[in-house]
Amino acid sequence: MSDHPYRSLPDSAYWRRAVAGQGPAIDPLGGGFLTLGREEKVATAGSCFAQHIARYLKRSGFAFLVTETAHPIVPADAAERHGYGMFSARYGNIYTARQLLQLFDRAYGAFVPAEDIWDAAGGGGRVVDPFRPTIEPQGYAGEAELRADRAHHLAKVREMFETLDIFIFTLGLTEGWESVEDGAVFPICPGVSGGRFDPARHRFRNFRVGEVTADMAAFIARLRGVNPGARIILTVSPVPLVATASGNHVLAATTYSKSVLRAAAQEIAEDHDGVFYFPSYEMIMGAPAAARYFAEDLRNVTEEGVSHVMSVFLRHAAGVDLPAPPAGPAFETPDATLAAAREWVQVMCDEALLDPGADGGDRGDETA
Amino acid sequence: MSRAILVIGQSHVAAVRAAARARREADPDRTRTRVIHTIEPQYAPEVEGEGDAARFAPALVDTIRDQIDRHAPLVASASGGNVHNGFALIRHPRPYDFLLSDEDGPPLDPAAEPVTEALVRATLEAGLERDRIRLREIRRIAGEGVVQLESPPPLADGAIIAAQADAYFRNRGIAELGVAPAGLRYKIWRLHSRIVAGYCADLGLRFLPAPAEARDAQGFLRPDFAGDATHGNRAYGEAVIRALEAL
Repeated sequence: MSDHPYRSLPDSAYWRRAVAGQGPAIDPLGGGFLTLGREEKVATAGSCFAQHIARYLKRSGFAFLVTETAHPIVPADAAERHGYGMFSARYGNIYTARQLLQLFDRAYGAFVPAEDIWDAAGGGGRVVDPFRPTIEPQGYAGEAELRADRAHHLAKVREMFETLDIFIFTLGLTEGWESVEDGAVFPICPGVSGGRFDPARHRFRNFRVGEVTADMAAFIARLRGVNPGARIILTVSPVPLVATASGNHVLAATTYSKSVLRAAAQEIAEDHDGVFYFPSYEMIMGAPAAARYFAEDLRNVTEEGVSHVMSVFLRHAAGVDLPAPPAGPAFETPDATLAAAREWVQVMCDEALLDPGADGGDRGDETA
Repeated sequence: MSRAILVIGQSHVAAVRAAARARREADPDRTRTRVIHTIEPQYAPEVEGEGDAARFAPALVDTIRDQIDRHAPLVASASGGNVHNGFALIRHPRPYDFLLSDEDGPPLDPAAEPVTEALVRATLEAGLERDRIRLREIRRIAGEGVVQLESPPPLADGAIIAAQADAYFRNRGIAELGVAPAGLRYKIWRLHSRIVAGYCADLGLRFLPAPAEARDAQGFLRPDFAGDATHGNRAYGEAVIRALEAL
């Protein structure tokens, strides 16, 4: 029998040995991964799924870096409502690579968007920050308050980039809306949560692989410019689009978006030292899970799914074993699924505003 | 005005009590102003129960009702009026500041951490739960027509505050930490007043601003109207009584 490259491959390279019959709690992480020490400062950003990572890191005793904390006088529930502690700084959801790059540039004064204040949806003279439109639930009382808070926020973003050891970024979407004037990308379409949509001033973007990789490469270069030792973990959110403006069916649009992000994540990790891809997307979306980790709406990820993802993450990165996800049938009854859904920790997801009837408003129990 | 006055409250009734005593000593036949201090020992515990079920203690209710039955007074409330001082009299180790909406106020301190007005409001409201209960109870017992007195404005001069601070603030380190900037103290007092005025509107109570003659051109409490770091004196109490008489 002739020898060939497949003979020496590990079991993880074979579907039959690594996937078939393994059940939903699969560990698809092959190859090298980074080592996470308890003293290393981990910052998170991205779509809603990144909030779960932050939650588990805190719960497991790791050094989750939060540079923008609520002032100690503020009650904890109010701080949570105002977006503190969800990520390492109070930037809200960062869905696209372009948003992340522009956040960096805005923090360091390299990009000053022309359209940088929106009227709040509720009116009354209140205003919102177009780059984190739900961070103040009722909007800011006025422009001066918004600008003061933004200056403080961006200072804390700089502090985060300069002091983190590991940056976890969850790529969430390829679709976004930008300013025609200067390309400023917003996390949510103007007019949905403040501002006013103007087809002459706003245009739809559906970023391609090359654009995502270019934006991420630019971000990595800038980050390493202020923090040469920074390591990066990329994940892709498994949460489907709430809605698509692409003209395609939302299922096809979701497949395109996630495919682009997954391909981009792979290329970025392959092209940059110190950048790793973590396959949380595969764990939730892959055939072994058979949609078990989605709630009844086939969009929101259950606590069981998040727990599985994070158990694999912490086992590989830190040698920590989380309690195994609860045993159960491969397909739960709708009531049980709903019950699991109710266990989700509330996360902030601006994208849900696109279809409030489906998710109950701006703070649904959902992830992205 | 010949109608008697009853002022119900806590520490801020001291100024009114001092003024009422001076009036009585000067003219025993003058219509009386009386006060009820709700946290004096004979009423303890001041409030029984929690949340919507919270009520003034029976002894306190009986005293208020007795005063109303005997004198049919104009009932005023000096309840609360201290929460803002708890947050903003002493300089916080992590200095903060905020901007007032809907009215002019001191600018942001550039050296302080900006906090949104909404979050400062949430902070104050969390601390005002007991005062809300007091207002609700006074409204329930005394009925319509109750007047809520705005708490005295802050003093502008931090040195006076540091020198006159009572044991509560001395024990919390006001000498070591220093007095908070006047601008912050003024703004948080204004926001506190707006929140309380909102509670009054919800309850159908009238909200009476601090006497104009007790305030300087910037709105701070004039030192000659100050009893200590946070309270009015007899002159302040006299100004309050006159304002009530003028209603």
